[in-house]
Amino acid sequence: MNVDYLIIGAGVAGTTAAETIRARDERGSIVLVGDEPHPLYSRVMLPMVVDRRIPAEKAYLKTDEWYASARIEYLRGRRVSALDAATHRATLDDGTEIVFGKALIATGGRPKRLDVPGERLDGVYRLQTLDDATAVRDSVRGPAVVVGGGFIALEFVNGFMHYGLKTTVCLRNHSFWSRHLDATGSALLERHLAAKGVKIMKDVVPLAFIGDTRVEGVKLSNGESIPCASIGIGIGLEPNVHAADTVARSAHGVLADEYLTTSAPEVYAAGDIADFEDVLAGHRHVLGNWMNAKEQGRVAGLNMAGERTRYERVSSYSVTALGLNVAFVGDVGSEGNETIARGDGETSYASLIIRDGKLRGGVFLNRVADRGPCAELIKSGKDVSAFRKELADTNFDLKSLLQ
Amino acid sequence: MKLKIVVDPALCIGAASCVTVSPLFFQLNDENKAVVIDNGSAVAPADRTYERVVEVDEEKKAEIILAAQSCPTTAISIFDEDTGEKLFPA
Repeated sequence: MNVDYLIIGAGVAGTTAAETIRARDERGSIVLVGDEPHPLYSRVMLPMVVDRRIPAEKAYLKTDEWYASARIEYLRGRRVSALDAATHRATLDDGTEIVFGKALIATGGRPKRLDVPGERLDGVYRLQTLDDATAVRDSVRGPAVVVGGGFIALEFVNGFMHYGLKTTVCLRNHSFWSRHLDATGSALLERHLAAKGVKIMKDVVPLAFIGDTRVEGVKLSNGESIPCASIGIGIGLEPNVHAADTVARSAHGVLADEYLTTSAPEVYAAGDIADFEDVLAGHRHVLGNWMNAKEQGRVAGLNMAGERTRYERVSSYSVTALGLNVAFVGDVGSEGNETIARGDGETSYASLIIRDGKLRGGVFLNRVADRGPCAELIKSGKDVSAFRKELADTNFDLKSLLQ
Repeated sequence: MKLKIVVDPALCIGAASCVTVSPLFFQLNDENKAVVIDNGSAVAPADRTYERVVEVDEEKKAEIILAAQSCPTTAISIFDEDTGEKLFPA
């Protein structure tokens, strides 16, 4: 098969790229390869499916008819098993050979595995796909255990608590988001969850899930065993790099420049797979959030269709954990950077990340009003090093630094 | 032209992608929900304006539709106020 544009991965990055290309190039042929059976749906809405705020159908962002009307050939339930950037050839898992003009790698990631016995028992849940969400919705029961301390783990806490289940969270380290949230921030979140009845265990990892067909308990590294009927695992993603054999990659994904071009000039990368040059952060990283994936899909699509657009967006993501809002804005990797604590952590808190005198990112707990100004400050590239005292003062309006 | 912008607060989760794309027309309120503002008009933390008609040019219209498209929960609907036509979701 010969195609002008091969899009590998039919999530929000890939689908947005296909849609963007079609808006610029009416005639080019577009093939979209995705390993799920569904039209595009919103992974962000999966927690709403879990707790029945919406029926599963409401999570769809595209209809079956949309692909046909946009003349995008959508190969469902398929993966690209090999890609040769030099000869512009790709091979699907069913043996189909595709010769492409330009290709986009938007394969995202898959939930990390714990690699412990019993990981495939019924009642051991992930929350990445629509099928994962309906499985939790239809079969969850207590008591419940959550493994992990990030966004997905907190969505499991929300879902389990929605159904009134006794819930225990197991943190591998000593805090939530141990790489992004400091002790003060994590303590605020921990107090909040504990007050709602969530039990939190620290510095533990599961060694085995016990059960016959359905999980009945979990054996932990501290010697304890907890009886449970449901386990939600949210410990992060690992990149789906199988389609990227011949382009340069890192341990985190496929390397891309600020135009989302890979080491091969006509192969692009976008979304959770892209270890991209972030001009606002001043370094290369992977950003695993919806806003980033959507906008990178758009920018990659523009560039594939012949434009030359840099990816420059301050993306953010947030979760409301049993009523407490946690938001990440911009580059939240605090390692080796200066951080400024904003607030005392009693009821709200922010940790602002500074590098080379510029604001690069922030983690916000119940500080919704700071998010917008923070994003604009990051984008402005303003030197804030003379304002450390002001940034730490919650009575100081961040907006006034934007004048 | 006039657009009617409608946010469904039941669907809005405060991801703020609309605010990022079009800060002149969307801001977050103190409930972490997006409210509609009028071309950069001031917004109080307690604002609950989830629906507003705004006067825009073609460029701003495109930006507002991009903001609605960027919403991961499809909480934003856009209507042409003069014709009543629903511009997004299509």
